Amino acid sequence: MSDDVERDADVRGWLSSVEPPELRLTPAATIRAGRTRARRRRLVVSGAAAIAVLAVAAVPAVASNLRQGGSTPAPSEQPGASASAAVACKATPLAVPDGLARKGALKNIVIATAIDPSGRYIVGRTHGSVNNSPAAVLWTDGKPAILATEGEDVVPTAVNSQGVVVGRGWMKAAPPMSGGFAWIYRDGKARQLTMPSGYTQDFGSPTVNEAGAVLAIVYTPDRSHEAVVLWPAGATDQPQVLSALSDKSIRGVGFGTDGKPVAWSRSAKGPVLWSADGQHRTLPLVGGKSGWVVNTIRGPWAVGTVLPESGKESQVPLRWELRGGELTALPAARLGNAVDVNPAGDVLVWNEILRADGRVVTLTVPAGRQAATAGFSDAGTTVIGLIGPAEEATSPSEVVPEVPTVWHC
Amino acid sequence: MRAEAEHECAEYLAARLPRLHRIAYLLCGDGHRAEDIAQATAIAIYTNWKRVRAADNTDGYVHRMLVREYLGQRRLSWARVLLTDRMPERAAPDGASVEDRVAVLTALAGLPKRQRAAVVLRYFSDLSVQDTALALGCSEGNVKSQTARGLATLRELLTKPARRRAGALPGEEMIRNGVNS
Repeated sequence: MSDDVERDADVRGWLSSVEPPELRLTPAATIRAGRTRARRRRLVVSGAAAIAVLAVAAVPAVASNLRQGGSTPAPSEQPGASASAAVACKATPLAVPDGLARKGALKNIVIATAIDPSGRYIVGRTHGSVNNSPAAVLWTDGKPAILATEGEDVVPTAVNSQGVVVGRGWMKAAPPMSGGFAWIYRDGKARQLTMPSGYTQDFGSPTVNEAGAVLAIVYTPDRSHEAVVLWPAGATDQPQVLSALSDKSIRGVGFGTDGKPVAWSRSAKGPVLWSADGQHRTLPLVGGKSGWVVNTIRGPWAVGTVLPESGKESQVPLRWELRGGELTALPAARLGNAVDVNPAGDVLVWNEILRADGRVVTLTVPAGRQAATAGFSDAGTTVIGLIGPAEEATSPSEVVPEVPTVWHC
Repeated sequence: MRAEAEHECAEYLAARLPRLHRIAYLLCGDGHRAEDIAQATAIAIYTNWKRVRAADNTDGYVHRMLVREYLGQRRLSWARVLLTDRMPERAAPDGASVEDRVAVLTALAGLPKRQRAAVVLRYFSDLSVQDTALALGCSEGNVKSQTARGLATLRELLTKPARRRAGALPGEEMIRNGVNS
């Protein structure tokens, strides 16, 4: 250490006193993301833009290889969850709209992010040169269109059955850290949602209900305070701060039972569920694992996953019934991330739908590829996601494009 | 990547990721962005592992990658890109020093990006002037001047009692009023 540095011990002390929030990244997750990045980079470099038409045959579903590969079975109240059903979900590639390049997006990377309850509308994000989403895409009955949104990073996060789309956005702005916003697309026009005074960063994924009300988490620029905000249907300039849900380290929001806003925060014991009047309770978890995540709150249900420390162990998909807090631990699987739930309590887990009656419906995926799903319709018959290569390509000839996909069951 | 190299890379990340995250947090002052920067850097380490491993000064090379990510980044979230790779929640950190942390972070936020990076790399990462210059892609003289100006501003903000009140600096007040400094 130099004399200069010795002399500046006060500065060293200040810097050392700053403890960041606990790191949630793990090397294993980073490696997985690195593999994906390497794959994407190869896709771009090789110019593999053509989207393969997937020849998918409707075949009786069987328990998937992934499910067979699962190890430790978790406690389960799901009746007969291992039973397979004679239902298959046929995959159809979603068309990519023209004009993505003009928006600065790579035309061969579009990811479906949300679907409306009826299954008619699907939204998706794009990819620019710096992992931003220069354009937002709306598919109506399978026909794609680029939404006329402002901003350098526009990510659609929800859509309702009237085709009202909401999302988060960012545009370069002064002062710094003030360019985040939530937006709504309705009647052919996108508008920014007015932020409550003092809050300039939107982070939580905005969601929209059937009436058109929007719910989001917003932050002060230094992120020292957060608030859950409700924009009533049709009122983009009347943000209502739900004070009972503010500054509670809220991590996710949704419209729960009876369409009322609910939110969840984290605690050492597990996820804490909050209602808009400030009532809260800790949701139960299965034991023996150290990490967990809540992915979706929808109607009377929330779904999430208990994640293992080691990539060799299995994940346990979870479903909570919000009124009573009852936990259902679904069969463990290596890729057992519960991403969505419908009003009937069916759970979308990776490439399977675990029906509430115990049936398992498998999404058809071509050999040598795998699916990653993002959501499904209320009826559980339309599913969105991505089909990509199962393994990292080792030569350009093996590169398989990643295709935004809709499955009809 | 071969399994052996991947294992080696995973071990390096396991050892360095928390430190990279902490540096990223000092640089950007935001927990979510710090994770983004740390993850983007870690992914770059993975995808460029051959070059990282072959570097004369591996940690110096990695610092350079992290600083480039910080300087070039604004609000990115690679984690959000992954449909199924959301990260687990864990117990919240001890909040005992929140006020001091906010004060230091607010003061750091008052520095231009490069001054801030120079101060963090010199006084938190213990990089030499030469390595800091390499990381920032500038001359050693430039590092010295950026560091000197950054230190002066930090001391101005953090040591004048009249400008402090419990848990808040003038900058923070402005931020809460929606007027970022």
